[in-house]
Amino acid sequence: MSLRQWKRIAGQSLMAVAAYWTYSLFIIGAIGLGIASLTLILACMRGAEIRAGELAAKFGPTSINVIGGNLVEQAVALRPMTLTWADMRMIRDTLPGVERVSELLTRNNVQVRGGQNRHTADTLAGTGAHHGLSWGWFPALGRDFSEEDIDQARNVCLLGTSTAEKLFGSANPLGEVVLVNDIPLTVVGVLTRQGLSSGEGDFDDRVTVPISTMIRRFNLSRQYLTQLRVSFPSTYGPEKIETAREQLRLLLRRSHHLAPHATDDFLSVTMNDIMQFVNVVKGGIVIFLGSVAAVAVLAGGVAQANLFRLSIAERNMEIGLKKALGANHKAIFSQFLLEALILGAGGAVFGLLLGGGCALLLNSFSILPISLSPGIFVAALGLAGCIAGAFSLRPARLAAELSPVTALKGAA
Amino acid sequence: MDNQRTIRPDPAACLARLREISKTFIQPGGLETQVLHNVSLDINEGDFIALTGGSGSGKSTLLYIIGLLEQASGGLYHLMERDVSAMNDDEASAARNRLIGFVFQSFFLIPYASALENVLLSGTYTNTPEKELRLRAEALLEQVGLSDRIHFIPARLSGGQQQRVALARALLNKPAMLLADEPTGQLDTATSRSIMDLLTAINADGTTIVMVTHNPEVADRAARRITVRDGRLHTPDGQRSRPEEAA
Ligand SMILES: Nc1ncnc2c1ncn2[C@@H]1O[C@H](COP(=O)(O)OP(=O)(O)OP(=O)(O)O)[C@@H](O)[C@H]1O
Ligand SMILES: [Mg+2]
Repeated sequence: MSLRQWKRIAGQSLMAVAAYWTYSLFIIGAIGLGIASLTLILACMRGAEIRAGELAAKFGPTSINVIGGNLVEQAVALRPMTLTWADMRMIRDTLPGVERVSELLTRNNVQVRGGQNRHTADTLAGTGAHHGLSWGWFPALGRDFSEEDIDQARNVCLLGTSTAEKLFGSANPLGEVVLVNDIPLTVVGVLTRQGLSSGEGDFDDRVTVPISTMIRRFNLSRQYLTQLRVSFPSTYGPEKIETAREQLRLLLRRSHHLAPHATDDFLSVTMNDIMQFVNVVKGGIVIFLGSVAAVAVLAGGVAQANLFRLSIAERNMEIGLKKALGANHKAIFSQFLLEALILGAGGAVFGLLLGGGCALLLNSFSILPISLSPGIFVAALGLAGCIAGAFSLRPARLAAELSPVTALKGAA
Repeated sequence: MDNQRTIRPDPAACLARLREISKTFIQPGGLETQVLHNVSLDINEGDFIALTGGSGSGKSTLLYIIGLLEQASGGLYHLMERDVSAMNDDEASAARNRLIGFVFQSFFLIPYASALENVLLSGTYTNTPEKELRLRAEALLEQVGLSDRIHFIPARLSGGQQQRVALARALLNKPAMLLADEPTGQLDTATSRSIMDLLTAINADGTTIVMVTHNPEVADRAARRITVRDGRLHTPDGQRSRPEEAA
């Protein structure tokens, strides 16, 4: 067929799509729903990936967190304190390459009062000076802990954003006094929002105090620590971090006098561990959501094929007539396939709008982190084209093979 | 020599030559119905043939075989000296497009397309430029008396007007042969007459016409009348049709 004939056939395809608009709408709807679910799923996955990256970046690629207790053999709630100030000093003084060791002492579920409100915060944390540098978690408002805050065990605190909102709403909490277990603390800063939560609750629902204040005012152990964070120079690659982790492990085992076959009474976590965990979870999500999307897309395709067949049955006269006027197999086949592709493109656009809309909605309610990339649009368009094409090959071929006399007799 | 010519027409002037054409339909159950029996017929340039006969006698089937919409089960059919049984789908489609125009009893217009678009439909499968097709379509619509309705969709046209659109569509590609299956079957007497006037004029302009009709008055307008009875051809006076006369 010549270009001229192609153009005419394409024109007729468009006309038919418009004329049989009810069928067209249903087909576009069917494909669109498949594409929408796929768009949403891809957007969620991209969002999760970006979030995982952020999380890992927040954690810091050249740090090792050491958590006290044997997490494998003991329930989280029963985690005994095994890390000591002595461990911390030993790591700082003997482990090669260490840039900074930061200590952390935590306690769960503490009563906080402030701004005429009462609230049970998930965590009370005690840290050293320079909370921002140590934990990669800076105050968004106010100031960080200084060396003097620690040395003098001052009654100051940094609030997590959730805690600050619970107590003070949208008012500025800086300079206000909060009571934690009846001990007054002056708010000197509000930490940036992490948007994370763990088994121990919302990361942003916390009151952070100087570790010395925590020990003295809240009667916590002078000997034990909950967690240590060991930081290495930013030039360290993943292998060097792994080596350091192993050295750190041996050091702690020796200082804890563990027998050769005993399991570690501490747990070390690196960014790599987090990424690996996220990847495993993501793999599961991909398989699950992927199959949901595949079913949705397949259902769209089958619906389109059936609707298309119905529409073709209704158009027997047109097919017979066109053959009588000189349309060959290819011309009829092409016309119907083109119609399917036009509908597929329509479905892709509809699906992208719907899926993208839902994604934005989820995002605005911060239900799920979402990322819409141009890649998703291209993928959806290509996929819709493939579904539309694949599922209409048979109906289009049946139309092309229809005997003109049978077609016309059926229509008369 | 000359004498023979008058009996046996010049091959160049013979558009369609059917010899011993038979058609058997095999139904899904395996039941065979022979609809045409050894039909021989020459359609010459400029002919105006009326095929008449009872319902179910095989008129439409014969017309569709002539128009390459249906294949004969046996016999020989040459269309413009070409053996039709050797044509593939592309060639048969091209032949239908270029040589043959169809008009049907129930018009078969695309309901969502205007009169002009319906006429232009025939041009889809040609390489004639758009502009020329459009000029021709407008001229044809004027010829059939519809120049003031070229943008009407079929639902807004009367039966007679719809058949005129169909007629214009059949003529767009300047076919050598116009095949009409009961073109006046759904029309009243006066409208039938005007359609027949058009067909007569078209035939006078040189287009060969083969028309199936039940209506004796309509059949009378044709120069050659052939009756189909049980799948066999008969001339009105009971004689056999022309090619067999010559044999
Ligand atoms: N596809 C088919 N399968 C089986 N039988 C068929 C088929 N098409 C036509 N016939 C039979 O062939 C015979 C001739 O049909 P045809 O349509 O040619 O008749 P006709 O002379 O045009 O009749 P009418 O005047 O009623 O239109 C009929 O008996 C019909 O039942
Ligand atoms: Mg008939």
